[in-house]
Amino acid sequence: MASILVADDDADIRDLVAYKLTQSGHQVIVVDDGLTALKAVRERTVDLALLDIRMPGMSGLDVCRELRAAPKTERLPVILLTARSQEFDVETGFAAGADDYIVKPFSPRELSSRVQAVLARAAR
Amino acid sequence: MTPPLAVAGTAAFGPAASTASGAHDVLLQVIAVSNVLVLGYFLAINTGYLTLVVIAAGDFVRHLRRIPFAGYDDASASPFTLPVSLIVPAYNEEAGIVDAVQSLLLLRHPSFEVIVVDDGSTDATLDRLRGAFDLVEVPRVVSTEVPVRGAVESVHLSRGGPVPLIVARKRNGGKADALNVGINLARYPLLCMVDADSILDSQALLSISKPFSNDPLRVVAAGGVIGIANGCTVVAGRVVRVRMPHRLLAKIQTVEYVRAFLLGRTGWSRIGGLLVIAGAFGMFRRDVVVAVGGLDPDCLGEDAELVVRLHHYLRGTGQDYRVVFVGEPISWSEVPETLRVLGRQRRRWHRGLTEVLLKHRDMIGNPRYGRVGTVALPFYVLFELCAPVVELAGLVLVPLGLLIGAVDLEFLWRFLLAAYGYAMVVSLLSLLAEEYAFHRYSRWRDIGSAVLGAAAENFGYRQFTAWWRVRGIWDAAHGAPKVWGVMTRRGFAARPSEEDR
Amino acid sequence: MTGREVINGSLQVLVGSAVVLLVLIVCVRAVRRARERHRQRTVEPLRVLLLELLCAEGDEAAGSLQALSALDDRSWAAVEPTARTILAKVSGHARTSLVGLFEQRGVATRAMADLGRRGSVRKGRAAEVLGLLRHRAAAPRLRVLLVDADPEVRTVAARTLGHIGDPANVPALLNCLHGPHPVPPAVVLQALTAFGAAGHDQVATGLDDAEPLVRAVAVETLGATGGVVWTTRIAAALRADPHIEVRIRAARALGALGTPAGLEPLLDAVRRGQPEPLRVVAARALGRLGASCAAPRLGELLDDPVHRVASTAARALLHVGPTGRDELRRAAGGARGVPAVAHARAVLAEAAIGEEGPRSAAGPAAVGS
Repeated sequence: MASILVADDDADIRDLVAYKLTQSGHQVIVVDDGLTALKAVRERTVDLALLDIRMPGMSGLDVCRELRAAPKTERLPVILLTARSQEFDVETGFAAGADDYIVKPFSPRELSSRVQAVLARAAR
Repeated sequence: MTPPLAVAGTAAFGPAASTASGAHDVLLQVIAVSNVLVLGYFLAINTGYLTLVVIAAGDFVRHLRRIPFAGYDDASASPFTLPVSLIVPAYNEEAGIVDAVQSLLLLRHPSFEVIVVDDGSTDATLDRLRGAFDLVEVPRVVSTEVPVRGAVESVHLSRGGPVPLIVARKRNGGKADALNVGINLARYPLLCMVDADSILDSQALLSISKPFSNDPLRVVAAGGVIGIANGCTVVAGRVVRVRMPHRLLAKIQTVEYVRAFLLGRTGWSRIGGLLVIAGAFGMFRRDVVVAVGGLDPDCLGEDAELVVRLHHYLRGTGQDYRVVFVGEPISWSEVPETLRVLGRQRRRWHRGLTEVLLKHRDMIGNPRYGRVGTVALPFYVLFELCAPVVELAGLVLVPLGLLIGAVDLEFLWRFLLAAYGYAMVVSLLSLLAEEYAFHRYSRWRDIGSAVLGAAAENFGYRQFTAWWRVRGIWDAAHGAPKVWGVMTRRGFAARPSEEDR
Repeated sequence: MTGREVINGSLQVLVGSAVVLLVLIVCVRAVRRARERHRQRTVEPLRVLLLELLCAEGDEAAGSLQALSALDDRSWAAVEPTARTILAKVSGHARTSLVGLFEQRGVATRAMADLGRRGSVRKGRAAEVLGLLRHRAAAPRLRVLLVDADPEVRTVAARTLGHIGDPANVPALLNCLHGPHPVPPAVVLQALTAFGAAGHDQVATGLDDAEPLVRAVAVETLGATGGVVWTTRIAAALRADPHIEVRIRAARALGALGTPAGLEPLLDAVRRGQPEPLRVVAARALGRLGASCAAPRLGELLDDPVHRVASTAARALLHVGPTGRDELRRAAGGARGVPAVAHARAVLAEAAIGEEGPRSAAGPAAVGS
């Protein structure tokens, strides 16, 4: 049971991810853009952030970099959601400090297990 | 048909009239005939527009039904979608440049770069960018494929990130010159020219590049729709709520944009005679733009001039090509809300048009240039260039006729009602087409605003614009000095949502 | 008829049409709003059902699947667009159950029937759906649509065949590049790359085609999907194909394949006297190839009078490892001509920026917060 932030501007993906994670017993906070995501992480207790790379205003990569730069959130596990599977994005994602990434289209089941894995790794 | 404005009772036919009254008769006849001409002109211009609007409406219906299989998702993920260089000329844009670039960087498209060309701004445009994107100056060899006037002083890249952003600082040389520098810096085969103050919908880049991948060998240029941002709510560089503007002046322009730009240009594109692609949002094939030598810094309407020159060059060299208008992608711009600024803008536009038509006058009516030469250009000369002159002439002649008794008042107001009524019907039809196809304005009140705008256009607005446009022609004829179109902007991000005020 | 009557008559017509147009505007809007409201009311509860189906573990899916497939037609019509957009966004089990739902609702069967009927829009939409479902049985009919009279139908058919992913469709896809109105090559290319290595043998038959477009697409597909077995053939195309577009794509393909056999022909292709666009692409390809023995030749290009060739060569040198960097540093120091100094310095500076690491905390984020 963890508190997970989901940031994506696509309502379908947001609902789907939220539904799946709630089903797996997590508490989910959903937001639809990068700035709100950053605010949510700063103001509430979040155990993991799931960020879409392409969001209006501030991309998931920017949010991730910003989280890494602040002492309070530098160790917060981050998973990036990317629409592209190109190496470029993957490399950039890890360079920005992401712990894992999930390529869209994705399987809700796989997403759930990735989240578990990252949470477990962070707990160690 | 009898001359409608001549009142039989006052027109003297008697051969025995004195010389003085003979002169008077001639005057009466002249005025009566001119009034008929004005009426005929009004009829013809509106019928011209009506035809375009009807053609465009048909195109919308066709386009809408095909969206489900247009394949945008495939295109946005495909590594084979042609990469695009976005060129943003900026002159004293410190208020909005950072937001503008940030939202451009988040457009949906698999591969593009953003090139900002600071045309010797005297404000902090470059500093704002430097701060926001952590720019570092780099030595860079700028190509000289397109001749440039204001030399490039420095080129900057964003530090450490794969942010596809290039900022060039150059000596002031005007918008066309700034765009030319951007063309030289561009690495990709497609160029998209965007005004620093316009806001693009996230889908805009994909949809405007679609014609280039659908018909890669022929499409050389594509124009997009310009919407009016006044009244809309903008969050994080995107228009999130579309509203009609509050000010009447902007309402009128909204209707005008829908009719002339959205419908009019769609119609021209369908006919194959599109002449104008707005500088605020247009896409071109780089190789062709380089081949014609880039934009003309001596021409005020550099955006329209480029398109006409492309037609000139490609037709002239016998190539098979297309210039298209895409009804769907939207770029939003703020329009003037004061008469003074609007006047300057229209004067500048019309001056640009005059210069373009003068420069390419050999194409007008020339069958060698296809429909562009035989239909589009003559239409522009007759109904765009001359319209304000005729309109002003009517404004002078009709009251004069009334004064000396060549026109009967009762008749006059009916005539005016019919002429303006026709114009309004064309506007309403455009609004219907917009409502059917895109329905961007969602509230009931917006319909009222639009109809109000369509009606109010005829009282004062038309007459004022006619005056400014005639002055534009005058400027072109006399070669008055050129200036960047300065517009007092409030900056989008700084503005709180002012909906439902 | 007098002028007055004409004016009066036209006034009446104008007022009449204005009223009609106004009423139409209002009606169009009212109808759309009512529909939209109805759809939303219907969709809300069904959406949860849909999410349940997508997120189900094990056998739990059966219940929601049954509920959704038993929906009346109106409710299904309301939920179908959502289901369709989600279909493109999920994979794995979620996708399988969603496709199962579509099959049970008879969506595929209807679309199959629509493919054979008249009307471009009907055919286009049907093809799109079948592509989403990756409905293999649709392939023969889609192949017919590749030569449909409507260009957009041809395009969607090609895309769909790519989604379906049966290499048996390769010949038809290559074939639709023939004729005066071919399917856009970028679309065919994307469809062909979807087959991956499984399509190679079939794609390679296009290398000998009489139509340059087919050869170009075949060459590029093999390059993009790692058809290293065909390196020699592609190299031959680069050397000797009569059509420039084929040679350009062959150069790009050799760079993508990255085998040593591509080196020699690429070194030849960047020589002066070769067409300029080819030289640019070949220089870039040498960079992708990353062979250090290409460094001297690329170094020579730094002095090339054609700007694009020189700047591309400079970038390419960055990618050929330490030898390339050395070459650049020497050129920057003046070992070659004056233009070379500028080009070399420019890319070295750019590379240095890229290696400084991620931005400081005062990145773009600081502006908004």
